[in-house]
Amino acid sequence: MRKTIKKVLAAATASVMVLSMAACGNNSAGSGGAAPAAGGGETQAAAAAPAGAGESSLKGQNVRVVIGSTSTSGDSYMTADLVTRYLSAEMGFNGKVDAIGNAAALDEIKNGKGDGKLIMMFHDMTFLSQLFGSVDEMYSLENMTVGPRIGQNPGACFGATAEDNFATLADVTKYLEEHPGEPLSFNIESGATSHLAFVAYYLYVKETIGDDAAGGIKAIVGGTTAEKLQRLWDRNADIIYGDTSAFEQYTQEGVEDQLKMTMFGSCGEVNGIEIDSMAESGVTFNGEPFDFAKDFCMYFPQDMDANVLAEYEAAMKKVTENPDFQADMAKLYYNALSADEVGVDASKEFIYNKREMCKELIEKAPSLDELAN
Amino acid sequence: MVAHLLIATLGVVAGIVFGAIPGMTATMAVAVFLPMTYAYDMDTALFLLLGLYVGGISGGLVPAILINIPGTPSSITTTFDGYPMSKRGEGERALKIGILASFIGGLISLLCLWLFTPLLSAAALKFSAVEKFLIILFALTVIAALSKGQMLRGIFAGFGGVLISLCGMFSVNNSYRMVPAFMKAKMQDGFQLLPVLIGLFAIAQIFEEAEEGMRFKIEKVDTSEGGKVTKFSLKDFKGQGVNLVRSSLIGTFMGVLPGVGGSAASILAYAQAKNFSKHPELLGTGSSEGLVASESSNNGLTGGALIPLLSLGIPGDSTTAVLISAFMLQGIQVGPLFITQNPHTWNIILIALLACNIIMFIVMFYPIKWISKIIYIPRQRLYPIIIMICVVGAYATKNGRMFDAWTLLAFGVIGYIFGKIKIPASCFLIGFILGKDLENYFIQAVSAASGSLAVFFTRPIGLFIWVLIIVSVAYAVWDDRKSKKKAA
Repeated sequence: MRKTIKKVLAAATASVMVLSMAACGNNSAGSGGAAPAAGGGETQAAAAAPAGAGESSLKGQNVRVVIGSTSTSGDSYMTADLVTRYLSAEMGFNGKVDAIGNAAALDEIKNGKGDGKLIMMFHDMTFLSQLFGSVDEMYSLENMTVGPRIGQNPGACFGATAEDNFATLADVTKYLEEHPGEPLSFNIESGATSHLAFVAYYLYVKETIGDDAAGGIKAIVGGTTAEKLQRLWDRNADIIYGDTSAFEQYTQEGVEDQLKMTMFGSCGEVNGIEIDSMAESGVTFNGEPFDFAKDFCMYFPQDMDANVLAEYEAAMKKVTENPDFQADMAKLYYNALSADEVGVDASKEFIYNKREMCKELIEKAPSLDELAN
Repeated sequence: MVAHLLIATLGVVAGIVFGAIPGMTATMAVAVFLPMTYAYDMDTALFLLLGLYVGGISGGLVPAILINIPGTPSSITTTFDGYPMSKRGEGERALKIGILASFIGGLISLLCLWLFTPLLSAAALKFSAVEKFLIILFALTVIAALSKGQMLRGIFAGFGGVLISLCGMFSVNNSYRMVPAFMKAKMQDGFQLLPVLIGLFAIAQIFEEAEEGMRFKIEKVDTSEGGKVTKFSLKDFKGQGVNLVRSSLIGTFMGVLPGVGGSAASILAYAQAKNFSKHPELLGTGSSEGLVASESSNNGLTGGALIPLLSLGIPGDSTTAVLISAFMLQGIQVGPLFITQNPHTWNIILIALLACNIIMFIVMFYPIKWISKIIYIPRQRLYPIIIMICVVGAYATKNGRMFDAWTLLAFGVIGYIFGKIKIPASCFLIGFILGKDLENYFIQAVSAASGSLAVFFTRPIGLFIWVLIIVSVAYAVWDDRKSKKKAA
């Protein structure tokens, strides 16, 4: 009996260890998001990208890619996963994306070794979270190495119920102008890109139309895309902020009236979708047309090995010029960049400039506490 | 079709294994197997993923019943009656009751998915943040029912759980709450449910048994059948029809409500089983009634959570949120037009869900008598494996953070201390599970009403839920007083 128990336990332990390895490789998903991109997701070409085929000093080694989101169905994961697959093929390493969340990812980069085996791939929240004070100063860009940019998601936009007849952000501005002081609520997230887009629009209305019109703009803060949609459907929010890929299905013919939406005021030109961007609706900041696409970039630990960084730069330049990669990005409605744009120096300059613009915007804008009242 | 059934069987078995291992969940199972679907067509992918979903939800009952450790958060209430049954040598019976209840719960929810999707999704739309807050509050009333005889301690523990669940960054203003400055990076999202759950149940229990020398013995049986160990028979379900249907429907409806988790479903169903029971005093001591309520409701969730996903494009729970990715991989958009634009896929979902429930029943019900022998393995051999599984499960919770493993240990110690000072850990855990949602929906409701609390008393559905809350609490208080008088 004892021997049998020992055997059973040995087999159980072995299978548990196998399963444990599988679980450690799991990517848990967020629970709140609504359906993202139609026709999006990982493509067969990308999925089949053979890791280990390329050459670099990291060939055959494991590379951990952390992202600042805990969701495996959002744009952060989709972009990082796609780029990692192509880079794995190009540089010959085994890349794996871990969705560990913003603070944890920043902490990993701050404490990690700069040997190229740890990358953070994330969008502007990397520096916004520090600007908004949700993480400490020690996680600022100065304490990490900005690597190549990897892509852009211009798909964030505003949405309203179809019955409100807002086809563009200009229509919303017109409404505010014609109904001064009448409340119009915007459901956004604090400390996120939606926060910036919202305050940029608020400042634009305040400067160009006036205080009365801007006084009607009210913020409702927080919620997943699903929760924002439900607020919209309950008519507890007039305008919500989310992704074109999540909203598009509710704009189609045949959707019942309570759910039917319009979307407008995207953060840039979205491939394959007809939508007016914020800039096209006339929104400006500091006299310049305001576009605020989410820019995804690689971030490495501060003491990053310059040779390995150069290898990443060269590989990313090849990846971004690969027509298959460009097609895969387009299927997700994301923009691939040019080889010049993904260069390390150009990327660093771009990210630092963007941070400065965001800093100025945050300083000029009233707090959400004010706008929520 | 044979290939589909084989892949569904693989999914169900793998799901059961994930569900049965503390720290691993149906959501993890679906996420781990998702990349396999790159190579599959949509039909095959659905058979695999729904198999994992059904198996993952069902597998949680095995450790809950046999070793008092819920395999998944939604099987917490299964431990209340399942483990006492195991302790008196009725592990196999408890497992079979749980499996059959899970099967029936799954079928009832499938029926709801098939026949009432438009109706239920319309109903879900009527549930705003106000109603969701009240539903969570209603689920919390189970604390009063569970802490009979020590209500003050139970309520204290429940509030403690709610409080601890709120540690971390408050997303509305990005401020940290109850987090020391040096822990900010680790605790942005607060404590994770799985390490807290496993710590309070598994690790604390292991500490307790270690203190007593691991001398676990099957208790002498004291059942109404005259001291004999009762074997499973269909008679166990006699008089349980209403409980079974009510609990399955509660599970289904909680699944329909996006953002209200599966754990809340089994907690609410258990509370109602206790409220409506002719022998409420037996629930928690090894009653099949509690077991049926818990298991039928958590499997009732499966069909329910698919309803908002397929009709509104909003996932009903964390597992269906991962399922969205599977649809995306195949270029299918789930949302209000899904059923009309994809009738074939819709039919496949119904068939796959039916097949997976039947397969789950077959692969669990018949071999369970051997699995139930786990309880006879000496604790000093079993527990080291369980500790290893728990640590790995905790570590994997957020894709590899040592902080979660430390959380597991810390809550193991807290659970051990709770046992010593007689604070009911289950009440703490229920508060912890429901705390974040309670706050979230409260803030959503109040902010939409410009800060007015009157919003909780102006909507007809809300008023109805208030009545249920008041009745539930009043009954629990009355029952508590009655039992105290009896004891005196």
